Amino acid sequence: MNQRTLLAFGLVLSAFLVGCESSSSDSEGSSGGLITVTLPYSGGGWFRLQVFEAELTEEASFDTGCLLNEASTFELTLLAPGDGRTILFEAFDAASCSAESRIAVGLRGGVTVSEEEPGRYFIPVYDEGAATALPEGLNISSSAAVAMDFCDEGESCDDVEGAVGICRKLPSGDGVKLQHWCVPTCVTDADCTGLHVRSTCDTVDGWCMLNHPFPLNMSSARALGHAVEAENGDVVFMGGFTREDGDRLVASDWSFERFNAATGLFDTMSIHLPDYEAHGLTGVAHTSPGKVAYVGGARSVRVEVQGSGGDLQLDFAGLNEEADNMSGKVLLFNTSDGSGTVTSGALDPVVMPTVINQSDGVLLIIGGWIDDGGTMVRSADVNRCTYDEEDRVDCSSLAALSTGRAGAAAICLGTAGCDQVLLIGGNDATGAVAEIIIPDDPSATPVELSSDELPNAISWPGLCGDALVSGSGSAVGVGAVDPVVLDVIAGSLKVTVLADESNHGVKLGATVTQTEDGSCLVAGGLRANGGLSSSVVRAVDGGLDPEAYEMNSGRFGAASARITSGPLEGSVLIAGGLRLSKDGERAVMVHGAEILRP
Amino acid sequence: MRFRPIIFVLLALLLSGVISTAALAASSAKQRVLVMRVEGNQLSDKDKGDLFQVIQEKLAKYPTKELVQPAETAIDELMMEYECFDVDAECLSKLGKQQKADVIFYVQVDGNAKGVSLIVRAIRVKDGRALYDKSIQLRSQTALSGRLDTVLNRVFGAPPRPKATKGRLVIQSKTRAARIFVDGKYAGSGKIRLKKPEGEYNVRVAKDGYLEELMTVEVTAGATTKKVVTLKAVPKPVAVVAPVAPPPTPADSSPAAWYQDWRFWSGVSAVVIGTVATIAVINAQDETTEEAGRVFITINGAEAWRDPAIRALGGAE
Repeated sequence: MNQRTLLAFGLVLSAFLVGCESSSSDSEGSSGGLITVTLPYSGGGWFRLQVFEAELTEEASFDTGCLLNEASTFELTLLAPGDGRTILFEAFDAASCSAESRIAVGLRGGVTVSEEEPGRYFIPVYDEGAATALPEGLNISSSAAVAMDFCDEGESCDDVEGAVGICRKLPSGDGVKLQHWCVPTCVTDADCTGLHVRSTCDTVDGWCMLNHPFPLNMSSARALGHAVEAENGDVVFMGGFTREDGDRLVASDWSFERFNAATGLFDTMSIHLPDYEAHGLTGVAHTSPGKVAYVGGARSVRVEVQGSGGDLQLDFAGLNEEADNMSGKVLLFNTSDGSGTVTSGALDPVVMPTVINQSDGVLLIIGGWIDDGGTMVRSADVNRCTYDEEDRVDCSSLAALSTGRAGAAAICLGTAGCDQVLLIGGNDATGAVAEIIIPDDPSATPVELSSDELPNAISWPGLCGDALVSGSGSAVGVGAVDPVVLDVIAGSLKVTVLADESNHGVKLGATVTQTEDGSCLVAGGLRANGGLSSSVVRAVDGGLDPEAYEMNSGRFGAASARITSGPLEGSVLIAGGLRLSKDGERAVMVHGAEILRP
Repeated sequence: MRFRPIIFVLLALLLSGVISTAALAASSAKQRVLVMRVEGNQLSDKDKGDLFQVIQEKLAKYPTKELVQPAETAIDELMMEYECFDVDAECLSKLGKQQKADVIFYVQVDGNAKGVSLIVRAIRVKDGRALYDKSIQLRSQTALSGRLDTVLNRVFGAPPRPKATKGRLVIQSKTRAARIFVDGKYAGSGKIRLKKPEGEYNVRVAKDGYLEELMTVEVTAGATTKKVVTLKAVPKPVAVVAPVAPPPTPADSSPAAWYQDWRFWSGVSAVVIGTVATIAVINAQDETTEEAGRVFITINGAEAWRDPAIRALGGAE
């Protein structure tokens, strides 16, 4: 058992006992209702807690005002009972109780204030100017632990009334003195489902764990998926691989969910569509506010890490080994209500296509991995797809690219909408690293572009406006590439290398989120010289900010998007992805999400 | 004969062709140059338009040139109108005369197996003399812009250097890794060199643990303004026994850095909960309310499993 697990267990046990005491004293002595705030710190500073009747409105139904934080437990009385309350918590430093001194904000909706047995609600609190991890990996065994006067370490508790499992000596409330507990133990996941249906067994330590404490965190792990901003400010997660099966990453069917900006909780989004299956490695683009196109993808992919994390490879050549692994479906998805329309047969199955909204009602679906007579190749196809009022999609072929591309990045050029498209990367080293296509001119041939400042091939490119800030300078695996600004002048590519004084570099699988001021936050990724990054680097016009934020978990292939409403407005939600195993030779899924308040 | 050396020099200049460019510029106040729209099969219409604009912008840098806009009519129709069989010097001269130009400049970009063929013709209109007439083979379009610079320099001489409108702003921080902001925007750290239009700029140099430096600097066109900054460290706090603060007017608060204790306290929260007395009651509701409810709230992540939303899905306890 590691120290962290021990500490967490101790905390939960002691908190549980204290909770029982205060609960009983409340019921004996209090005729009025109360809210008990347990703070994880004391001594100096201020806090304020507001309760809103439903979602946040202009006026709270209960407001503590500014309280000096001189103890760790506060009782607040006379709350109006009811369901669906939202609690907003703010902490301030000692300088003043005002917005400029705020050091943390907490948000929790869906709270019931009860006249009966009160619930014990967890409020996630997010530090300003830092990334905060949402809870994950909860030790659920402690929920059924029973304190003992004495028992022998390892002894069975079967004969003890009301207790299960075995005896363990664990730290008590003061964190030092050991106490005796009867604690449920486990060998397989089945031993844990009685505690919680989603609980699994940590077979090394014998604890039952809840790795995905939904709705306080995502309902499952998620890698190589997408996150998009919804019109109401929520963040919607779409697709991605949600579980590991040997050396394969596999997509599950519950892979759409939403972070509710008004409650701070996750909701699942059911896709009520016949024959619908979720995928990873899809192509995604906003078609209009509140509507997203979700194209192609794969049900599973084999992933390999070679050389102790120095090289990551997805087995694209093996995508067609399993029947129906690849999708040619186009889903037009409404982020507001989770409804959508699937069109089958408009495209051949394709993985990692580039999708771009050319104009109102017109999508361009470009390249991707396709099955060419049994062999997986990068496609040079350009499809112009239109959709009608019922969101049924119809596609026709345009002139092909100069070379096959999969997962290329695209930006619109020209002043008249998107009459020209610059594509970069996704190629193998034999074709041009970039090219310009003119979709509306059937006679126009692609203009191939290259530059001495760019490698011959770039995989997984990520753009921030016209700057390349994420990707690998290699057709396969992890290769070096500088952060650059791309500019097309008179048919030639002008490349300007961005300042990068702290050598953050461009990383494979980093996720890019554009902020309100146009700068981008680039999170995680695999470095070209090996190693997983936990940094979040801001890319501005002049270059990469030397100072970076740090996530709690290093990750690549994550999904991220900006929260655009509510108390967390302006924060960036970074979720899921992959990390390297301890030996660096395997990619494993990252379960949880983090919120960065830049 | 004293004037003979001068005649010699003039003759030499004529023979070398230099006079054809330099003298052209000097012969009238403004030389009228007609740049034809870019032709050829290699570029898209958009790129042809861009390249045409690039050439015009390059020529606009010559104060002795006056740009004449080409006719909207397609070149094929113009050739038929002037009975041209090819876009040669004679034909271009005719087109130039029609537009009352002194020099006509024609560019054609064609694709071929080796890459790109760039055809450039600069014709003196009055006599049809070719100032420049070459077909240049390029490996890719990337080289187009640079090669056209070379041609324009050959035909019209190097453009005069524009009068500086910008100055150089150099800010150097002697405090390692200090961040430099110019007009509120992050500009870099260590030493930054920026080209800026003439004017005043607000510069901020900052680093955690140091007092930030604010200054206004003036940038003058054609000159370098340099500032060297050394930040002073924030004085270390002196230990103070804080009085028990009478809550809760924020203005009365004495500064205390409990934020640094945040993570420490989150680690030992359970201990604190067990030992600190429950205090302070706030009554913010209408006291006549008869109904009153309760809720327990924690921000300790280790207790998240107790949350009703988690337990509703499970069956714990």
